[in-house]
Amino acid sequence: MTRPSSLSWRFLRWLVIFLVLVLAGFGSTLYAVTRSSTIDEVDVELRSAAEVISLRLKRKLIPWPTGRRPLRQSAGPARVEPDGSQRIEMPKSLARHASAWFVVWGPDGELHASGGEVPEQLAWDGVRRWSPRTTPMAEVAQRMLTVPGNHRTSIQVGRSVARELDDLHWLAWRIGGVGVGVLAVGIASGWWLTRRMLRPLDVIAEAAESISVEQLDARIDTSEMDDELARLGRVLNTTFARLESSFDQQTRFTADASHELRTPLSVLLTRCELALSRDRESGEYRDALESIHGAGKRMKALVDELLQLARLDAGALELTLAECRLDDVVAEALTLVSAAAEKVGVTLAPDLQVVLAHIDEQRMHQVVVNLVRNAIQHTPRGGRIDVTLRTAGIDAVLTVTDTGAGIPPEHLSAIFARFHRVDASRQRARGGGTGIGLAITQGIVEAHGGTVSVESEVGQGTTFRVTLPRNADGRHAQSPSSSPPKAIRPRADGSKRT
Amino acid sequence: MRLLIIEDDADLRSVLGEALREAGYAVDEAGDGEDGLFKATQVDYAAVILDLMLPGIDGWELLHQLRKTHDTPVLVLSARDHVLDRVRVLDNGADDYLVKPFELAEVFARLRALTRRSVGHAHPEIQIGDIVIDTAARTATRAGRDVGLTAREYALVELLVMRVGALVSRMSIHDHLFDENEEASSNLVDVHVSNVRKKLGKSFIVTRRGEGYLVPRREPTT
Repeated sequence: MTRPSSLSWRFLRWLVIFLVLVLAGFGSTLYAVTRSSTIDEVDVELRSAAEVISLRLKRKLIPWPTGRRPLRQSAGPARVEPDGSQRIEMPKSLARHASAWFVVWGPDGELHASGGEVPEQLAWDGVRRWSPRTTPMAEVAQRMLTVPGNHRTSIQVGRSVARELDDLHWLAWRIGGVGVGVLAVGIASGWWLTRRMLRPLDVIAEAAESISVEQLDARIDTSEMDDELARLGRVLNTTFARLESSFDQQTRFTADASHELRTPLSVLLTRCELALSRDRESGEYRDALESIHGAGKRMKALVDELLQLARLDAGALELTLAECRLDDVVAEALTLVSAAAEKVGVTLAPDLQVVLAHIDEQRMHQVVVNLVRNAIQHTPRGGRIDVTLRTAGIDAVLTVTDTGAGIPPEHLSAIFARFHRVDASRQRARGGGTGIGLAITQGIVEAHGGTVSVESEVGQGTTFRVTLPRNADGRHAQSPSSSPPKAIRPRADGSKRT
Repeated sequence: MRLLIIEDDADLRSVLGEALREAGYAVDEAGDGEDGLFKATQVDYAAVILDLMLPGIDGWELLHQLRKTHDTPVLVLSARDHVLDRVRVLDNGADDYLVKPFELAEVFARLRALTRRSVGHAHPEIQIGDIVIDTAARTATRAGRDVGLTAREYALVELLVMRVGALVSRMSIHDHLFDENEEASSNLVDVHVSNVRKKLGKSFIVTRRGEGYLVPRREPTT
C-alpha cells in the first residue's frame, strides 16, 4: 500500500520535462536540417539548370524585340517556332522532373521563351530577385529561382517541390511518432527506476513507522539495499537501538523507583490498617505512628533523591561554587556518618590534607556522605574505612577505601547505574541506600568537572576515587549540557580510571 | 495456624507479623532467602508469605527449592507488578500473588482461601454436627450461637476440623499454635483442648492417649 511519494512524482515530472525538451530539440533540428538540405538540393539543381539555360540563351540567335541583333549567334538546340518565339530545350538535369519549367522574361516582362509545365498563375512581377523562393501555385508548392540572363533578361526556373514537401511532412510525423515512443519508454523506465530506487526508502519508512513504545525492537533490513541507503538504514538502526536502550533504561528506572516506593508504602498502609483495626492503648498508637513516620521518611528520602537525579539528568542542578576547605567538608561529613559506622562496628580512619577548593560545599558534603555510607553498608563488623584527601596537581583526590567483600568485576562497570545493586536485594537492614546514591554522587562530581572511579578486589575491599579540579571555574557547572544527557549516555563507563 | 513470613524489609516484616499474630496466627519470620528456605523446609507451615527480592537466595529460587520437597501454600508479596512477573511466579509453584502495597484484609482473605484449599475445603464454612466453623469470620457456632472462642482456641479448632476424622499429634498441634519465639510447653495444648471442650462439648474432640487428638466425623444434625 505504498502511495506514490511526492519525491517520485517530482522526479518523474522533471524527467518528462527533460525528455520532451531533448526530443523536441532533437526532432526539430533533424527536421530543419533535412528540410534545408532537401531544398538546397532542389536549389542547386535549379541553379545549374538556370545556368545551362543562360548559356544556351547566349548562344542562341534570338531576335530581340528591340530589334537589336544578338551579339553572337550560334548553332544550338534552339529553333524558331512558327509563332516566331525562340525555343530553348529544357536542360536534361531539369527535364527529369515532369513538373519542371522555365521562362525567359524580357526586361519589361515580355515572355521570350519557356519550356515545361509553366504554371498558369506565373506572371512577371517586374522585380529581379535572385534568391530562390517557394510559392504555392494552383495548390502546388513551386520552388523557383530567377537568374539574370544576358540583355537584361531574367531566366526563371522552377519546379514543383510537392513531393519533397510531402516527404518532409512524412518525416515530421515519423520524428513525432518516434519522439512519443521514446517519451513513453522514458517515462516507463523512469517510473520503474524511481520505484526501484525509492523502495528501500519505503522499507525504511515502514520500519520507522512500526517503531512504537510497545515495539522498539523493529529494525531496518539493510541486506538488500544499495550502499547509500544501506548506510542511512544502518544509521537509523543505530538511532533506534539508542532509543530502545534509553527507553529501556527509563522504563527500568521508573519500575525500580516505583518498586522502591512500594515497600515503605506497604509498611505505612499496613501499619495504619492494623492500628485502626481495633481500639488500642496510647502506647500502641505511638509505636504505630513512629513506624509510619519512619516509612514516610524513607519515602521522602527516596523522592528527594529521585528529584535530585532528575535535576542532574536535565542539567538543571545549580552549583553554588565558593572557595572553601575541602578537608573541612569531608571531616564534617564523616562526623555525620560516624554514628552509623559505630552502630555496625566499623572504624572510620580519615587522613586529610588541607585542600582549598572552589566547590559547592553542600553537594560535596553529600558526595562524601554517600560514598562513606555506601562503604559502611558493605563493610562487615570490625572492618575499617580509610578516607584520604590529597592534592594532585590542579586536582584534589578523595579516596574512600573499605575492607568489605569487594565488588565482582561483572558488577563493577554498572556500579553507578541507578538502582544497581550487587546483591539482588536491598541492604536496608543496615540502614542502606536506595541504590541511586552512587548515581547522584557521580552526577554531582561530573557537574564539578571531576570524575569518580572505582577499583575493587573481591575479598579485599573497594576503593572509590573522586578526582576534582580544585579550581572549578563553574564552566563545567554551568554547562552540564557539554556532556550528553545521562538518560541516553550508556552507563557502562562507570570505571573511568584517573 | 502457623505461618512463615520471608521478607527482607524489617519494617514490613514486623508489621505483617504483628497483624497476623493479632489475627490469631502463629507467625515465624525470616529476613533472607537462606533462613526462609531453612525454616520453610523444617516446619510444616499452613502457608508461607514470600517476598521476591531477597538477599542470598531470591524468591524464585526459594520457590523452586521448596517445591522439590514441600507443597506448603505460598502467597507471594511483591513490588513487581508486571504481568510476566506474576505469570513466572505462579508457574514457578506459587499459589497466589499480591502486589505491594496491599490491603491487610486481602492478605488475610487470600491466606484463609489458601489454607482452606490446601486441606481440600472450598467452602468457607465447615459443619460438624450442630457445630459450624466459619473460616471467614474465624468463629465457631454451636446450635446457631457463637461460642466465643479465643484466637488460639479457634486456631486449634480450625486445625482439627480441617483434618476432620484424622489424628493430629500433640506435637503437630503445638507446632501450629505457637511460633518459634513462644516458649510454650506442650501441656498448653491440653489446656486449650480442655477449654474448647467446655465451649463445644466434651465429645467434640476425642483424645487418643499418647498419640494426639482428633475431631471425629459426624452427620450434621438437623
